[in-house]
Amino acid sequence: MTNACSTCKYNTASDLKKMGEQTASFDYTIALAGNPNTGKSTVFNTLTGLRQHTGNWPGKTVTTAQGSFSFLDKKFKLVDLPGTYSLLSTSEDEEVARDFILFGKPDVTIVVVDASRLERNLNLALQILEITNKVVLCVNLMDEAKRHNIEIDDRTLARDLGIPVVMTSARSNEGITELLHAVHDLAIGEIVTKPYHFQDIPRTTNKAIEKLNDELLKLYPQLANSRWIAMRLLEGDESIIKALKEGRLH
Amino acid sequence: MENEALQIETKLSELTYGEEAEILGISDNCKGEIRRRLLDLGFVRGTRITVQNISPLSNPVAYSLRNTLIALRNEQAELILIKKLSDNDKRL
Repeated sequence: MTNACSTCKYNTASDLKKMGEQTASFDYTIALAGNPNTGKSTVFNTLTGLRQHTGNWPGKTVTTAQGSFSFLDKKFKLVDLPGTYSLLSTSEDEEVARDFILFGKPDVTIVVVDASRLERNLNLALQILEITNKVVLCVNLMDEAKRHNIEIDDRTLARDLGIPVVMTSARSNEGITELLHAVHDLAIGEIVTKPYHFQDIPRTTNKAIEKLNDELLKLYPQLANSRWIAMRLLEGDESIIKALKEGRLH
Repeated sequence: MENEALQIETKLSELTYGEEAEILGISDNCKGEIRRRLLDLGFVRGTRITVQNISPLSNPVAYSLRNTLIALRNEQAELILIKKLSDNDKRL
């Protein structure tokens, strides 16, 4: 279908090609993470053209769904993860999300948050920033937030978190082009992030982390996120201990 | 610290409909995964909390905190320490 809009260079949305389920070849892997019920699957469907079931209840996506799209001549594989409140306390479906972000090594992780419940959603966003630098914050459900007279200062949020922040209403396609640009630029390395990290770790705890971290790196020199894994081991996180024993960590 | 009497520490399970409280923390008896889970759900120090719905057998109870409803069983609500707020506190 050709019309004036689809060939106009100012219509950057036309650079998006929804490629459905073709995930055979791609340049970058993108993960969609976020709290339950923030619209991850809606973002997924908008980008891939698929009709992954969306529903207004938590726990709807229990396994990952995959799809693909191309934007500005790059092919992206998009992985829709189950909603999770945390990377630290995980139920079975939440573990799927945690393991993918930790071991699947996505090139970019989009963290979808609910604009009306931003504060509680940032818990997960901050945890993900501890693991990976390549994060775009997608503040979704902006239409609903506006109805509740909630205003969001996206520039301050981006500055404080040190990552790109895009405001969207995926349901009505708003902000999707901006989201695509942020994901694209981050994937090709045009944007460099400076994510916020937790500062107030007590000195004695820090010492223990460093010690365990050194041991881990001796065993697995290639280990990514070794410091984070050391912290989980100190907490006695059963699933991380199991992953380490089974050799899934490197 | 005005209203000394109202600063008394109590459990979330003691909160009744219409009252408002501030979370003081999670009991030391609550450790590991459950503690982590409660923190992730927003039960952190300084959070304002009210009772929103009570189920027919009064267990579980749905609480409103940080713009979301979370239902807890009594056994979990007993692990969360609160101080009830007076009308004066609420305006702060």
